[in-house]
Amino acid sequence: MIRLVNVVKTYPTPVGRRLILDNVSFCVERGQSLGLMGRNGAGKSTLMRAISGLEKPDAGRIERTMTVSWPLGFFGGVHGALTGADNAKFVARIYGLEIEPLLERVQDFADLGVYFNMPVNTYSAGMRARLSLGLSLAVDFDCYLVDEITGAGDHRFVQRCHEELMQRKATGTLIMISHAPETLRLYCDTGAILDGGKLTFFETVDEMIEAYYAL
Amino acid sequence: MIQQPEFDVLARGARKQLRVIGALVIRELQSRFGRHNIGFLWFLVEPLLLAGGVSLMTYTSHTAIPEGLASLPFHLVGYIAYMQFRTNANRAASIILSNRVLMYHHQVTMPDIVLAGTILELGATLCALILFTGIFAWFGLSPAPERPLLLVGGMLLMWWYTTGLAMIICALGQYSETVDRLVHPFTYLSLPFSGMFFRVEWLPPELREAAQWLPLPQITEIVRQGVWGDLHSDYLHPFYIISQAAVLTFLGLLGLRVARHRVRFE
Repeated sequence: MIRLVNVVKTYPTPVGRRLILDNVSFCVERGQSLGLMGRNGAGKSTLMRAISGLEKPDAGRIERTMTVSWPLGFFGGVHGALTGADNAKFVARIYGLEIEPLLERVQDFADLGVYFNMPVNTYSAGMRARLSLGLSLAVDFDCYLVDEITGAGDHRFVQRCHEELMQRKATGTLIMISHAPETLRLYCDTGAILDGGKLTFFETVDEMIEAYYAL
Repeated sequence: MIQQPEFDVLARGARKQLRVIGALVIRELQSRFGRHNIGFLWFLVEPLLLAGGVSLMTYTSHTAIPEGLASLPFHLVGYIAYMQFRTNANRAASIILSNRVLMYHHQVTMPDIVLAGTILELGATLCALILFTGIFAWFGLSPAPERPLLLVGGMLLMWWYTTGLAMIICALGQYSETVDRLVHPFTYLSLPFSGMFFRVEWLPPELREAAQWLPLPQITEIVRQGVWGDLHSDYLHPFYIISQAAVLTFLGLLGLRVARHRVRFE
């Protein structure tokens, strides 16, 4: 379970503090898969970072009774100056996992070829996303926070990604940001829209999508 | 009996943190010295060039170093001790910026990142010190470290002191970029006061009193006494340095805790 209680988050801007999360409270149960929509800059990624514990809220509290992945986006979790393999070794070390099996799993999933031994700085955005997702799947979290990276990569990767995420949806917990209705319909059971710092929940993904286009 | 689980939690936490710091040290090692050892060779070149240059100046100006000490080892040992101070202070303000992507993994904290950097610096400077003193002893320029424990102890004290300082600079650096810009001239200006060029005993009496308040010349003195075992100083106050290091560390940890919410992620 992940529970947010009266979470407030603001960011400083040249014209004063901007309210990103305005007294947000909700609960995601184990096994649930929640889709998140919102305009650019509404604060979806900020919400993800708060859920993961990366950013501390200004007020309120966040409780977690399961392991939660880092926000899986185009940025974060992997270091640009290190190679993909060195990043994988780093992750294995800090999570206390065996290095060799993890390297194999990541390389098998991300399919980076010779790039696996080159600095992440040289990767395309899609390759970065593949590495980040591969690493997080190898660590095996209870809950995955996916921030718009499912569309990354070529046809083959999208297929692999789909298989893995469907399996997680069946056995684990998923919170996913996307602008693509198809993706959300595929992976999520319920949905929520973030607008003006407030979260509005919907029983079904279709209702959320309808409301989103009416925004 | 009831204490057992609590101890387990503590031990598990300690193991986890050691694992994280170990991984961070390896990560620092890879990007600072590269995967090939040529990076460490470059690390050795800088102190050698600087101490060599100073020795050349003392040699050409016929300035004798007191107590019959050879110029090159005297300055080089002093400079390597100072290197820990300089690198740790200089890197502190920007170290989070270049490592924050790793904080996406919840077990990686700000103190871990600072610690990994200073531990690596301690290892590198200690290796350099042992290597150079060995070479100088081979050429008969200085004795092989006569009190090795004192040498290591002095370097450890420098590590502790500069780690506390680095934590404070790192915390302040999250509030203003000016901190990073000010630290660099400050560390260069502090070189003449570091003890690289002198022993407190050699200063005029009125300066000696003032120099006692500076931790750097004292720590450098301890490291030097590790090499030249018969050096003696009336101006060493280990308890004073340890208290300063402890206070800096406490303030540094507190500062990092407060500054955590200032770290921005893309």
